[in-house]
Amino acid sequence: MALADFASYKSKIATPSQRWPFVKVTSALRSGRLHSSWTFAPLAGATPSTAAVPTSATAGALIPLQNPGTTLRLAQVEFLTGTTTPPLPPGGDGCVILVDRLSHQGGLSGTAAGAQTTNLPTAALTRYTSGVGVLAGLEIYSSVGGTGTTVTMSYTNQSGTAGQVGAEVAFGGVDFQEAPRFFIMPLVAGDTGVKSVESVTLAGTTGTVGNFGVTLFKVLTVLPMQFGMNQTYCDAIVGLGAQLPDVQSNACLQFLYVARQTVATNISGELRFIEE
Amino acid sequence: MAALNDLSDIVNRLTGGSSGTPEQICVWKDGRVAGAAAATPIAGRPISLWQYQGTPAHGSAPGAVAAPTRATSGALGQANPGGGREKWLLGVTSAINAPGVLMLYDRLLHISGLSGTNTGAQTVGGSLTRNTGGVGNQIWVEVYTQIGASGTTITASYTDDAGNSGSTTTSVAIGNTGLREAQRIIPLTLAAGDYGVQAVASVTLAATTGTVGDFGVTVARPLLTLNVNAVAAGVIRDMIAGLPSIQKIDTDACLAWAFWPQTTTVPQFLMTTQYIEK
Repeated sequence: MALADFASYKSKIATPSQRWPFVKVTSALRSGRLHSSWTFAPLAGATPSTAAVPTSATAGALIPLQNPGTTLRLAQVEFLTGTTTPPLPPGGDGCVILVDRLSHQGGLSGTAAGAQTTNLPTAALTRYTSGVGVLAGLEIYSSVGGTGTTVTMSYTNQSGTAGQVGAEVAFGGVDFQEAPRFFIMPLVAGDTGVKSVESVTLAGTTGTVGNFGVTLFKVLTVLPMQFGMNQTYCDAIVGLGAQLPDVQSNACLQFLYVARQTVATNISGELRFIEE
Repeated sequence: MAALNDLSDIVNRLTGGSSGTPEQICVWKDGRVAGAAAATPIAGRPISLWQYQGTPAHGSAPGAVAAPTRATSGALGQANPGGGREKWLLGVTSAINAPGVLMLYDRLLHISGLSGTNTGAQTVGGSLTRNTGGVGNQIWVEVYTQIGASGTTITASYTDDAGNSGSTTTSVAIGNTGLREAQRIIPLTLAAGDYGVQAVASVTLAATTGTVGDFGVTVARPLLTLNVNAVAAGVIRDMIAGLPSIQKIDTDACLAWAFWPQTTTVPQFLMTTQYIEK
């Protein structure tokens, strides 16, 4: 049921239905590049192998989300980042993107040129089952090689059309080989989401087998750091640009992270939810 | 059609009440064009992200003049409002890898295939289908294939927001380093006293740039900017409590992006945009 008015919203955020602190420490990262928090300590997630659907109970989920009785929405976030080694740098340390990790697998090879189907197709979606708004990414668990190449994926779109292949992305080489780098895969024009991924194709070998996999995810919100500060406070209605995403039952929350610096970084904060 | 009443109206519609039809769209743009890395930016020189690969998919050099819509490949692809309602953009958040200014605009009209060596009047033509009154519309030169190294100037003949045809933009530089590269945008300066553009008849190079290349003209209506002042700092544009005010998104709007870089880093960004209807 929709919230009637601002007073209702204000009343609910005064006593949020759930509030969960979180702490993560990144590994060394690549400046300006997208990374996955899945393997960040503490309570790191395991490298997936066979296709599986992660949930709020899966090791690596950012918080042990309690399933709601009605519609659950992320209303407020506050978080802090800073390097693990003082002195703290001036300015922010990057940008956090909160996502629901919907489906994952691993075991793909950085040397196998051609279509790879190991541990694919991805496990069927149990959340956002229409596929609309679901994106696919490639996640490096163990570094691949230093030879740059490109990669594409074959997927089934939101309408159930299989064999869709979007544009390629760079893969392998400096900034494109390191764990835990994350690459969002482009979709075909007109597609609005992914239901499953059937294969991944490297144009050439990167030189090292490594280990990477496909992750299906839904973006919930982007949480930029405020320049000049290390702590950010966001309210969905006032300050976060009306980003009031609904969070589905069993959601496996994690974040993607665009790092500003290469050093390991502490990321901590609290997520506050309301129910309609 | 009616204006949003107050914050309560927004909260109600944002959570699905009153046919608010909330929509959140996530965008990812990679720094690749046509299977290769995009042209290296030059600090301070705006670039078009129209052909940048990602999700939604990239656009192409338009060819013949056309009025792109939400269904044109390269556009954001937001749903049109239903039930006689209007669509409103409430907020944007973005994570971007490079400092600069990211602009969201409605791409109203475009053409490509113009020559960097033709010094005659090169026809643009076409007709706007949105914001036809012209106020706020800008004329951009957009380079699709690098033109020449000989610097010269360019002007456009256009119809202004008052309906006066035959207006001429102020000469601006084109060609040579910084003003010839693929994905380059060169904004044209309107004549004094004009507030916008209803149509563009033609563009004229004062001299050849030395290379045919491929450039075009885009009529753009800027909607908002996101200022990113550090690598990976990200940005929030909250139009409920901040600037600019809540933006109406025209039916069939072809929402696209341009970038004013601070550095030579090819931009990549992930963005969420939030809409409601009334």
